[in-house]
Amino acid sequence: MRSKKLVVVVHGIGDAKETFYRSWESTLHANHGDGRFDVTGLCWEPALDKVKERYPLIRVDLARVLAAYELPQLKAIVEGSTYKKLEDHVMDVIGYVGLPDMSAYLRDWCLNKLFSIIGDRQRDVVIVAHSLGAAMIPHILWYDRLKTGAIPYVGVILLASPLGIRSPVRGVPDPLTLLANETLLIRAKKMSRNETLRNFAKMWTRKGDRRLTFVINKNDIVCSDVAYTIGGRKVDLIPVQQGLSVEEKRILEETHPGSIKEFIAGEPKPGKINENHDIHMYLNRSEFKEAFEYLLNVDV
Amino acid sequence: MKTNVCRQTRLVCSALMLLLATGAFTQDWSGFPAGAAAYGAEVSAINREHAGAGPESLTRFLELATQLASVLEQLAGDFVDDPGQAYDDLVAPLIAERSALVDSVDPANMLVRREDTAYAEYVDPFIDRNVMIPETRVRNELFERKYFHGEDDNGNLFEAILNSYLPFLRYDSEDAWYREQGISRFEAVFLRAEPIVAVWDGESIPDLGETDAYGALATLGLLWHFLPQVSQSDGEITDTVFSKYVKRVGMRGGVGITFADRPQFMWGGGLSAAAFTVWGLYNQESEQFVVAVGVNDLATIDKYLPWFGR
Repeated sequence: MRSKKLVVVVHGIGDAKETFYRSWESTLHANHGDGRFDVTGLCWEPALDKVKERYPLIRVDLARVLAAYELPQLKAIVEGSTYKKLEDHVMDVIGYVGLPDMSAYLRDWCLNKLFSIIGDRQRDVVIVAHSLGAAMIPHILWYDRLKTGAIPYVGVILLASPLGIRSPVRGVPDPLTLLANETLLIRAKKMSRNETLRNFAKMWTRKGDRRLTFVINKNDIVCSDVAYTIGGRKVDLIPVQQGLSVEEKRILEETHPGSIKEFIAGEPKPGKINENHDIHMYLNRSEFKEAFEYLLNVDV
Repeated sequence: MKTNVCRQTRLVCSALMLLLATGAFTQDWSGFPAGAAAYGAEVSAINREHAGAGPESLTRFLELATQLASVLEQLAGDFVDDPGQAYDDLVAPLIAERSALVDSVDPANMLVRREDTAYAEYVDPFIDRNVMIPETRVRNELFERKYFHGEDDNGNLFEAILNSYLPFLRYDSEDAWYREQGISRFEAVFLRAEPIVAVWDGESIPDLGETDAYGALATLGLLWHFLPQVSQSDGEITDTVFSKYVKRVGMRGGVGITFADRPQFMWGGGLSAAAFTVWGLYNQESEQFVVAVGVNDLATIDKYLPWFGR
């Protein structure tokens, strides 16, 4: 008899609560039936918050002190909801990708949390990660494999993964170089981006077919180089590569056939950025549903 | 015979349970000797089919699998004085080497797949994850002690960049005298705003009722963290007097002003311990040497502002 799967869902940037997984759970059960799988969430927001508080863009307490001495402007800015939201998003990314000591801390924290929530059900685990979580999860699974020789999990689905983002600054890591170089806490052999991706895909190929899936909305600015129409002109709002390149996708497909699932949803307009990145839009797509259904039905 | 097998199993269990310092999981280890034997049998069968054919990387990979199978069977069948040490010395290096080699072989090769399946089925359930738990737990705790200790957590992005990119400040798995489990005991502080109060102005104790007894400095400095000791054998963390009470010491430099009727420029150096710094400052205008005490972060006075009606 096939074992009941444990689906571990992982959130991305924003302000997730410990119970964030319940809305994912509702959508997953609505689409794939009850009773076939349990859902639990890896909420890493508390650790991300610690990093934000340690290294804020602007110190709230400093702003308060200055306000007490007749300089209220800074306080007004940092206590505004727009600033808070902006800081929340920006510092999640900077803290995880741009500050290697914080990345190391966050990865260890997440690995410990993953172990604690899955207990001895490792071999029943399907991981579904979204956004920044879909960049962090490959890191901890890679580390897991390097340290233990194998990954026990059934498979992983990465939704809107920013793993393809290329760092514009030499020496500052991007999610893919974090995967391979020594900032991953062990002095592993340094690899090129292509080599890293190939080896990451190989890790899943050894387990079997269709164990790794990237689900990508080509209108999602987090995982695709979207050109927006602004004033009649096509404009790329982020002047760095944020999606996997054509060559990188080819390598993934060659090494792990079927690992790239792309679709177009929403409109390429700045006002639709949140909508095009929304987790429930991804969970309701047929590309995700097929990949997820396969993992529910396969044995480790 | 039965007693002997039980004892062997118990030894293997204890070897593996030693690595399970947190007690996060409870697992039945009784199948380990059988798993090691099954893995060994499958590797032998794979080697017979391989018979040296194929690329050199495959040969090397299968040689390593053979070594690993042999060590696991030995560990499952022999009495050892220190099972934890035996695991660290014999098994962990082979697993690390296997992980490094596995990228060089074709994952679609049927022999590789068979070895991988056997490893996942017979070996992985007994050693996976557990080897990492003490390591990641300890490292996480040390990161917490260094960066999130609760008394002086308010840095800024400049500081974060320095501590993440200067090689002697950031994490590195290379051994060095100033590191504990790879985490540097040094930390830079940079562009902090720190309040001070003068305690001696070169001649007398300043009147705390006067504004010129108070000031603020922009500071930078280098701290040394007293991290707790970590046992190499079981990852147990033990605090020392210094790691528990002093936590960190350091040197700081700063420039700033006193809050006199007219701001007066000061500069100097300080020695800090825990959340406080003793400053030796030179007041340029009055040409006076001033001794002052400061808290390491302006945030500290935020919570006292209401006392002064602010």
